Amino acid sequence: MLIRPERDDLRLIAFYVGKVIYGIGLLLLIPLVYALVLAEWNDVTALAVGASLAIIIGRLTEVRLYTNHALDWSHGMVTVALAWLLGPVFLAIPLYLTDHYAGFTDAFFDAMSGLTTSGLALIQDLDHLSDAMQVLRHLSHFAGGQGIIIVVLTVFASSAAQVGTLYVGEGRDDRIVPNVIRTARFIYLVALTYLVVGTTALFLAGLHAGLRPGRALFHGVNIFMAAFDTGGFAPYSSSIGYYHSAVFEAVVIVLMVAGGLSFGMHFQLWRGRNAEAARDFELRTLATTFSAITLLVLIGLGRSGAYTDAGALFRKGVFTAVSAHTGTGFAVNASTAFANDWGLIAPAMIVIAMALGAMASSTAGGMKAIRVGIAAKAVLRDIRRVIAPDSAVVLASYHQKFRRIVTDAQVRAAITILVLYLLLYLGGALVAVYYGYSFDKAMFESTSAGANVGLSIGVLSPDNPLPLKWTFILQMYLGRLEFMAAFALIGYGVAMVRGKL
Amino acid sequence: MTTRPSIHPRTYVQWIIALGVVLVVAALIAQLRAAKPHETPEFLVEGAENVDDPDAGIVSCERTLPGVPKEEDEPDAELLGRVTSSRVLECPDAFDGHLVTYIGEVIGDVLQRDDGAWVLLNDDPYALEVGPLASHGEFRGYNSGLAVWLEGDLADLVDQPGGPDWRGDVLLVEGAVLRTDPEDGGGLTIRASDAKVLAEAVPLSHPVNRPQAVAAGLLSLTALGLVVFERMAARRR
Repeated sequence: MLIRPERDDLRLIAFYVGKVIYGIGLLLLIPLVYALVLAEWNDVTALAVGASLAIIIGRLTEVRLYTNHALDWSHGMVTVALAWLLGPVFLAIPLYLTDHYAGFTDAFFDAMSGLTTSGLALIQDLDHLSDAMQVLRHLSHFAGGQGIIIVVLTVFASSAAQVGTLYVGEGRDDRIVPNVIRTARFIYLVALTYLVVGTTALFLAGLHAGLRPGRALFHGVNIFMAAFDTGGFAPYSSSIGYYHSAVFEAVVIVLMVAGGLSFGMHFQLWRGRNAEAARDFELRTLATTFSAITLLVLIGLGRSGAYTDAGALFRKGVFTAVSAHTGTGFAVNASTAFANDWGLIAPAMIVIAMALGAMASSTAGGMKAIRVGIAAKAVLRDIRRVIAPDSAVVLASYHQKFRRIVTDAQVRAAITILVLYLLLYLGGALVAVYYGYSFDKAMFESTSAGANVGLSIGVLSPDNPLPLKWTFILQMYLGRLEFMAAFALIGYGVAMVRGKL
Repeated sequence: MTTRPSIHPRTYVQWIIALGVVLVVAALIAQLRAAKPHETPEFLVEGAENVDDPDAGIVSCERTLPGVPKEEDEPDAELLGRVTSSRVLECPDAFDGHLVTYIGEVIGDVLQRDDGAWVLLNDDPYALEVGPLASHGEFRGYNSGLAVWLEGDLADLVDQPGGPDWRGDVLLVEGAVLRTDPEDGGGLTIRASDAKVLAEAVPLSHPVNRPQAVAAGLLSLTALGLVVFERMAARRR
């Protein structure tokens, strides 16, 4: 029986959604200050409008709806789902006011793409966009990659018990330390450490590439946020190809890989437990799929004749494979190259890499290596059961912190999510096919959106029909939340209409 | 049996008020954007016209498959004519090795190296026709351009790259299209052997959007007031 939520339930949800919106408002103050420094006055006012509206909503909910009730699972899930829908609205306001978007849908698309660390973009004339708005776009990757809910956890939460469900609802289930707030703070500690180290490395690589110091710092900060958070926005339309530098690409590869690792893995490495990290089942699964896919990409590129020079083939192939598998979406070639120049095998492998994604509880999207690994283990276990004697007890196990037995419940959960992702990719592709795109291109773009990657084969365009844009938005949203929170929101909506007290 | 209770009329009123507030805010934001003033200087680059009919001589966009010798293995000694980035990106193999003329706005940075410099030259409408989007609000799609290697001191020609405050210098370059430039790790480039400035950079004015400034001021004051009020309320709790 559906139970209708009571006013107190809605009040609690609105209270926490308000906190997240308030967090978005504070986030907008960072590029606002930068715009003030640069005297980009229209950006100052555009950001002030967006920030003020978010802060007003956030404070009104705090004043009017204050409660100290704890969140239960359904509250947490619905709060996360709503926060990820409404957060991009406030981010989209200053973007829309820049005049670089044909409509609010396009601005909302980019805001959703930024927060979900997808990297697909509908912005027009990006190459003349102001510096403050560039910072905003890349900052949205940073906030979204670390989890906008985490911001609430680390800054505003008074009790871990109140907000633990939000953490899981956001697609994170890896509590590094027992206390969820301390886990969140560890995540930001890792991110800030990487911010300093990664930006410095990119700054030096930028100087080496020929950028002037001030510009090298600007590019370094922005590219860091997009790389470490597996986002994919870049200051210029030619993405990482803009820099014409193997050194710069190498640094970006390291950051993309770091972004694709779970924060639990970072914790192991942080503590110097390298042997433990090397035994980790999910990391091994990721290494296996990455090696196989990269090899096949290189073979495909070789067969297609896209690159006659082995060095070029390796550089383009490996970078793109890492970018796709970690869900980043940086490109070192024009989007048309995938269709016109890369043959069939390499783009197909890129689609598979995007679909799989990196590690769970990382900033990457996609199916995640742990689920792929568990599904593979289950298949192998079942094959062994078939050929083993009837009396044999066949188990499958894996190592993640300790040895774990693969249970049927785990397999069911993993395969459910895998199937949902496949349906998500396929559904988006079918919508694009409906609007006249070939299935292969539609599948590439749809997978890129659903797995929050950002590589494009040229389907996405400001001229796309609105339903196609909203399909991609929905895919980015569902892919980032890994479905469950969004399903909880739908369930809550139905319960509000049809539920009984 | 549990019955579905009726919804209190006050709830409907609250939802209607909330919806009304959202609509008012949406209308305000749309008005703010529409109120943005534009001061459009002349951006059309003389000598860069006829961009729709530039590629005389290229008849096939067919991809040369590996193992099949290309009909022309040697680059054309004669200039093929003017090409556009969209055409080259569409059929990189057809232009591979050909000497071409290309016109584009220098974007972002001049990446100075020991023996030359890399630049991104855009030839989209924002570069050659209508100017940067923020100065007019006329949407013409994504940016489009090609990477160009400027040999030796050719990069000294560039005085001001394009960006948020400038439509950058527009260069006319002559050079060979390389589908997979080994010096660029396999990137699609033009290696310019000659270049000249076709149009100098144009500064962009950014007239202040006054209604937006007023709205920003009022909203900021309201937000600040609410923050202070909430702090006081929190202390009382």
